[in-house]
Amino acid sequence: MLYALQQTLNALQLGSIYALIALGYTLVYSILRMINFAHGDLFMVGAFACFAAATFFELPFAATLLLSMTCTAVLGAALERLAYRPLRDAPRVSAVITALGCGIFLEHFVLWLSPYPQHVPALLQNQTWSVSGLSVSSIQMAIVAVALALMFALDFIVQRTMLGLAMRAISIDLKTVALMGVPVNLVISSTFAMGAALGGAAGVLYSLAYPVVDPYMGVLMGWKAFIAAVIGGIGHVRGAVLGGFLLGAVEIFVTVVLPSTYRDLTVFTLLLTLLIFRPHGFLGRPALQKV
Amino acid sequence: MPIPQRETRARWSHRWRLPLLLGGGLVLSYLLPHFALLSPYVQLLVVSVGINIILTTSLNLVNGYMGEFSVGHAGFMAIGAYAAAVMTVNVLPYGAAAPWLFPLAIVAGGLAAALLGCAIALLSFKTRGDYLAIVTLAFLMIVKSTLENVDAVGGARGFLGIERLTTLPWVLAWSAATVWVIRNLVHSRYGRDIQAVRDDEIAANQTGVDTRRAKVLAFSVSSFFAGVAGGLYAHHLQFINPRMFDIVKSTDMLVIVDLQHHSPLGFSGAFPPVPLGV
Amino acid sequence: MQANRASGIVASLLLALALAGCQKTPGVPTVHVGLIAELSGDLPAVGASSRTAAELAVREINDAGGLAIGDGRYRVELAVEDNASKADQSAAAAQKLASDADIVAIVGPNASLGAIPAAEIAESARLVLITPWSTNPKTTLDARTGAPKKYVFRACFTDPFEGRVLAKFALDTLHARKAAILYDQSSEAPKSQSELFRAIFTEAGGTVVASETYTTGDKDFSAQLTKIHRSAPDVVFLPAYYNDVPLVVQQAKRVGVTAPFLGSDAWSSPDLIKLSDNAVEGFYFCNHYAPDVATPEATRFIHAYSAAHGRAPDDVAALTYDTFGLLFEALKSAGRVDRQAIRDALAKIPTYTGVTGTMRFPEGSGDPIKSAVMLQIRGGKFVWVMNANP
Repeated sequence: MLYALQQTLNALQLGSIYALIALGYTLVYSILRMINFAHGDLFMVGAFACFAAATFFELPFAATLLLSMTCTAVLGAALERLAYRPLRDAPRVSAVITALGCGIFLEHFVLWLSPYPQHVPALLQNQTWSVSGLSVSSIQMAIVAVALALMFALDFIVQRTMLGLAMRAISIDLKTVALMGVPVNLVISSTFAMGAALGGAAGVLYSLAYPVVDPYMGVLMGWKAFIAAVIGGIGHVRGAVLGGFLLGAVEIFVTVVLPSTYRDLTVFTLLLTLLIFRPHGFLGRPALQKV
Repeated sequence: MPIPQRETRARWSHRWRLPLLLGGGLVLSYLLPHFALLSPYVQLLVVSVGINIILTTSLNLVNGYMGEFSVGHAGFMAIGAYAAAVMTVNVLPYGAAAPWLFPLAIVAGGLAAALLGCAIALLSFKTRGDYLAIVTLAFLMIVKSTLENVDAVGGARGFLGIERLTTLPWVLAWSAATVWVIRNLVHSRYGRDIQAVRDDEIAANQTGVDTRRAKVLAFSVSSFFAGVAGGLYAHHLQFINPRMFDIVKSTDMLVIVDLQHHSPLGFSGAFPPVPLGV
Repeated sequence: MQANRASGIVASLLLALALAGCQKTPGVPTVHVGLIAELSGDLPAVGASSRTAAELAVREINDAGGLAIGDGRYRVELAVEDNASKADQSAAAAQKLASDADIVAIVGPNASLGAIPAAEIAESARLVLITPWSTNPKTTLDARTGAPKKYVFRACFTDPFEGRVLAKFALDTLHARKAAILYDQSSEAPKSQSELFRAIFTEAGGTVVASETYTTGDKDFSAQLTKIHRSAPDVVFLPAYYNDVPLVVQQAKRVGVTAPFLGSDAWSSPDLIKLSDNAVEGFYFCNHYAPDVATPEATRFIHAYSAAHGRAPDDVAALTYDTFGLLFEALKSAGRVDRQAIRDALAKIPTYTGVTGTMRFPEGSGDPIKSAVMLQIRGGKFVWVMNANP
């Protein structure tokens, strides 16, 4: 029982990080129907920003988090303005190549700055408490807490503010909303910025848990978080959160039961099965096709 | 009185131009390494280019002509590579016969990949667009993870001891075959079906196009040649491991194929970016 | 039609360019040696050490007037290839070097995951390959028949010896009765080392209470470490490369693992301490040489290396330096710059004394018999604890 709880804590930590990155994908997809393949690399930039802040400026945790989120938000908005906006009406393939290209550009830019993996100095001192036999690490708690706080904040913005209303409206019909006098470009830029900021925050939390950063860390994390977003129903904000935690749970519990080599295999087989029987994810709605 | 019509018959030199060029190329590709007229490094490069041509042309069938977004191409390549390697190392008699039985191994690799291509095609009936991308991604990861768990082919540490059977003539022959088959397929009735699926699947269905058959055909042919490329690659590098065939490889292929669409050289646009990619 | 023509023109242009680059500059007689190092990817510190040591060895011999082979004196030139710490790129690098007729021998790769495929290719191309650091026995054994390879040698001891040293250390010095193992099952060296450790540890009376695996590139080990914690071992055997160790050790502390960790020679990079923020303090590992108990010859090398590189050499650097020493000796006794002659000369060398001690090559084998050292991490430095002789 205790052992299962211990593993659940591990799953929560991993799941929070996946959920934050997945939210970035889902936000962009919901308004633009576009998969931002550079999002995993935005996560990586956030982690590197955290490394730079901690090593060169020796900032405390909160300041590092804010700095990282701001950096990635600005970068995300810049990407949108420079790379994606001109292609809004272009064929899908162009948007895909551009996104992939942006990702590769970011990877190589960071590679040029730092060819070797870097160690991130500890932002928070770890304390391990033993709660009736359960080892609770303060870093694990911090990650889950910060992630949940951010998720609640996003949910609040999406459900209770005008900006959120505009976002939800755009996700239904972009062209009509523009006719309604909503500043569509501003809303889209804000959405990108928010999604990127969440990715950046995920990067900081990741550096807390696994303090080694390298330029290619975003590739696999990005794809896995994308899968998490799809599991929950891409385009659905709460779905992304659900998907993230589900993915974290599956990864951890598969490693518990089977040798770790079967982890990826099980995750992807489950994904495939889900997609065959419920392609729109758990919380998504089946897309209607107009003829 | 019948109106005399000018006979327009293609000159024999036009008809035979392409086969002669190919035949000449084949002879050249045998002679150049034999008499060491070409630096070995350039030979390596040309082999890589040839393999990439096969990969991108086959991927173009699904991504370009059928308009689906498939990122699983590296998975088919992996299956072809492993199947061909298992054939030459474990199944076929080792020794002097190996170079002559090589095409058999390559075809076996291609067929194995085509089988799975069929399976993916079946899956693609219900999923479309972005979801198909994820299905193919999941398939790619499943192939990679499965290979990592099969110790008989070396698992995650890789398959060693493959003979160097890929030579310049073979690469040229297979590239030419790939391009010829796919080009003919695209210009045939089946090719038009495939393009109809891209243009408007529902309308195509209504007008009597068998979209299911088109999808199965496109995926099978595409994955067959991906498997062929994989087999050639395995016998060129003499070593394969699952990590080589991951999402990064698929993404590279996607980029080349998409560059090709925007290149003014048309289908042969695969050629200049491919050496750059190498 | 036009597209075909255009592509034909482009192709010929490219080919012409490539061929043009094949001019060889005449002049001083030179012998070319290939070096495959992990310059990028997961293990850049290993590649950097190897390259610096190689450049030092080559510079020293060139400054002394060159190698005396036969009647002439030859300059030595390095052809460096990066294998990005990956197996397939090692294979590609080996292919490239093997197809270059000027290259007479290959040094490297260091990590077994790259050394094994490269060795296969060198063997089939009949080109000498000496790996400085790869301990996996498969590097010098034919993949199909299991017979020793003819053209592949190494400068270090092998996993069976190292596994025995580590198991005995765990039992005798650490007094451990229960051990847990955590290893990367997708990498050659960790897998073979853990299998050997398990066999020898259980044979000598201990029990392996947990054996967990992960895959290269994994960053989260919390599930495996929680399982290990549950099994309450006396020691945890972690034969991982220096880039994985910090993550494992830090996460272990978080899930409550208090048992000490025992490492293999893969720990040996000084970057280990830099990356792990002192989480590895007090742990032991096996290594090829100890800088603080060096012979006079080793001390000279350490000074020369530190002057060139700014930091003391690690075992990869020392072994690479010894590899070049071995190769130069073979070249001198071969009398001519020829791949087969070098191989024969190398096979005839019975012992070689270098920076890392004396290595004795038994008849027909490319694996030397050498001593190992056990080191402990104390005060952020590697400190010698004891020698382990074969």
